[in-house]
Amino acid sequence: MKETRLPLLFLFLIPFLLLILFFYVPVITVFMTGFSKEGLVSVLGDSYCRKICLFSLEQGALSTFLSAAIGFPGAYILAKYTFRGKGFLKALITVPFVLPPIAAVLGIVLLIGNNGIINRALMALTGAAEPPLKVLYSLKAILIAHTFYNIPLFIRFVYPVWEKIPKSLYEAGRSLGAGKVRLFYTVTLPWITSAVVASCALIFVECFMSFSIVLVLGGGPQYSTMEVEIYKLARTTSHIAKACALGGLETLFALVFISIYTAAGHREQRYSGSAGRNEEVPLKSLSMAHSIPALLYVLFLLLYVALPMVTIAFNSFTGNGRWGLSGGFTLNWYTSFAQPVMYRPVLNTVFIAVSTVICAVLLSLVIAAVISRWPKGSFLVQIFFFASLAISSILLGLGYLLTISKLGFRPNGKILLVAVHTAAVLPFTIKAVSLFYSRINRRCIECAQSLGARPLRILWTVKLPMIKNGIFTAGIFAFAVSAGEVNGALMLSPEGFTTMPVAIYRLIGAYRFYQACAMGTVLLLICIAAFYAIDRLGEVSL
Amino acid sequence: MKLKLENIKISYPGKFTLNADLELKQGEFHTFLGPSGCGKTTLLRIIAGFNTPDSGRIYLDGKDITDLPPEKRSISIVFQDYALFPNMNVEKNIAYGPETQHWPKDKIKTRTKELLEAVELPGYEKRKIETLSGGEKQRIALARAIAVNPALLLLDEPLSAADEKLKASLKAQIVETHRKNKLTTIYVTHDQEEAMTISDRISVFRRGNIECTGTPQEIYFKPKTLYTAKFVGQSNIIEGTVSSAGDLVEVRCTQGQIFKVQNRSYKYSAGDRVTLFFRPECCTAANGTEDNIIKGRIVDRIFYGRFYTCTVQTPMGLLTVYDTYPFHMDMAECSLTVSPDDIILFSE
Repeated sequence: MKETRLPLLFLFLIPFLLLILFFYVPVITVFMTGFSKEGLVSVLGDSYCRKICLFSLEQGALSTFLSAAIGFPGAYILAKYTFRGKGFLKALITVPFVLPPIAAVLGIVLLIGNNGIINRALMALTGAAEPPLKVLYSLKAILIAHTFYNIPLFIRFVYPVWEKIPKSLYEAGRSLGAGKVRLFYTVTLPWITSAVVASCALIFVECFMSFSIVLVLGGGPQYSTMEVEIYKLARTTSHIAKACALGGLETLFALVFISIYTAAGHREQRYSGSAGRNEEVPLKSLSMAHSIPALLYVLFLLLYVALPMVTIAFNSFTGNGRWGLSGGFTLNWYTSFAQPVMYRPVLNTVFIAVSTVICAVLLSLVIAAVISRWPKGSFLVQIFFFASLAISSILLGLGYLLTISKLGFRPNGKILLVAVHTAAVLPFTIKAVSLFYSRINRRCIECAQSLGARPLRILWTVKLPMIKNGIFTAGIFAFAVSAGEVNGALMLSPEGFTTMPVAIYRLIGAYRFYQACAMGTVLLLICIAAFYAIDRLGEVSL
Repeated sequence: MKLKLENIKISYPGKFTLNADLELKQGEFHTFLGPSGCGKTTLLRIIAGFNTPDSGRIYLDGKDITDLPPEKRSISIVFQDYALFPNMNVEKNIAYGPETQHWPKDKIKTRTKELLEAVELPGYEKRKIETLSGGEKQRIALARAIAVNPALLLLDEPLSAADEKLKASLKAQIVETHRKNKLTTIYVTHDQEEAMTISDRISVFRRGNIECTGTPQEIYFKPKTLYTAKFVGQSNIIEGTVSSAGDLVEVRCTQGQIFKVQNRSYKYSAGDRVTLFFRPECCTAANGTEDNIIKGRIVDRIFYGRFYTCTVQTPMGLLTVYDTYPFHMDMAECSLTVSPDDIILFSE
């Protein structure tokens, strides 16, 4: 190519140095502090820390097992049957992907809390004086929240693979005398194993590193995880070395499971080449004995996923002192957005999210250009920029606090917050932009060149229009994630600077649930609108 | 514009090394013909400025353009996959070059309209690219390429994606465009028939080298190398040894048959090992008085409408001959002849 690579390489230095400065330096600082003798002894020699490590693993494993076990029939039903409302169910199970955890927490508190809708309904039905369902602030509450997120995730991963098992494989097996059980073990299971393993690894990492769900629904030291403990140690005590050691250990565990996820993804590609399509059967054509359990399952899934979200929206329009059903319709909680305590978090969130979008999209554009022009090195570039997948925002925030304390000056907390959000979304935004960048027909660019266009005109008239969907997808995703992110915001927000998820967290803590619901509904709408937009732009699996 | 390629060299380790020396006349329609991977597209891309040669110079109308970037060469290109800008409509695609050169708006509009009429797609200005058929896309790509009146037009296998019917109409369009605009044009293809019917001159490529350059007639009937003879069209090849050389060269084949061949180069002498080549259409039924009578038996006949292709078993091996209407060869013994003028000799 008669194209000089020099300007692009210089441009590439910007994201490279930014990532070194805002990601690798703080993260390595955490590891160096954590993996010191002092750090490791403070964790491994402390029975409470050991218990927290074990509990993190235990709740992660339990959440993964329950999500997979409950999600498995869902994947089967979606892969094998057609029924009215299937499209809606498929759309619904994608919503938790972009739902901020703090909104889910709010919905679950309103549903299963002592004064929640379910307890109130049970008390009204049975006449009991005490709430019969006491699950809040326990492992059960954590598991409910984690399964709310991850049953849909499991189904979303497994059913598209399951439905692509070619019908001819089953027919070949049957013609050779295999029964249903043998077909399941010899055809279905080998085909979906990678998807099951990949989704389980991902679910485990998410639950293992879960923060706001455990922080609120765990209720205290008894049900604390490593992620929550790092936050508490960093913000409320001065045991920085201990926090770093916990962070280091947590990252090691996360890396193991991310490797499993990646390896399973590679194995799945072997099967995708011979993928076909199975024959979907109408659910109503089955006998009652088969169709009724399936319908009940679909109903359960609909309620399980939709109820927390519906509860938030419903409560934001009701109230006269007590939660839920008894309150009349009101717009009071929305009119309260006229008060600074309500509208400032919205403005702050928009400010941080827009800044994140600008940073993430610009960096992704440069990185995608480098990846497309330097295919041999793209693997290294991706590893370098995708490393943030294994690092939680809490750990990165801890890294900032630690680096700042060593440097002796404190940069603006908003800048750090934007940096944390950008690091968190960068792997996904790079993926979105790269996908479209790689599809640019090089011959179109050569045609433009041969017609006399210079590089800047080609960028403006040919390249950018061709990747605009990738840019929009990346931008919308970055906006939604930043708007819903609570971990980094809690760690790094400057005094008096509150974002919407932090405001919801504080409103829950102050038992101002209606206002929390109004804010939660706005956040929910932002995220659903974002997801809808990404879905329409298409093709990027996030 | 005239094009001159002087000692162009580029090597792809493990693949091939491209060597090219070539001159194109003003307004010439020149075809690069060769199998896939022989370097013809690479040479085209070097001319366009997308690839840089290791050495050698490129002159366009006497001006050295070797170090100019593609956007400053005034060389337009049409690709096999059209490469139309999907984010622009038909009008914007055609106007891209003129807009880049800052033509006045009304001139651009007139030029676009004129080109759309020339490619028989009037009224297509506002059409989106995805609504066009393959043939329509090809015409728009052609219109876009010639909109700026380039010094040189490059066509990289523009018909390979089209079906037979579409190919014929697009080929006519390309010939018509060339005839009207008198553009010096380079056309890349692996299709011999396309090359024969469309070109003023053809360069046959082999593993990075231009094996032979000439008019379609020269390439077909008087190929300069055995490779060209074999690559283009069907051929009959017979091995032999020169027994005497005067105005006619006498060649004795392994089976004793003697061929008389017009001596064109006077470079052969008795005892030289040579290869004889002639086309199937040069072989006709003998009446017994001609030179070079070959006796054989027809072992296979394939009907092509206007003619049969017959495979004849002879003492020298299988030969291919055409039996044209009214057909007179049947599946039996036959006696054929080939004129000394129609046989070409190649040294081994």
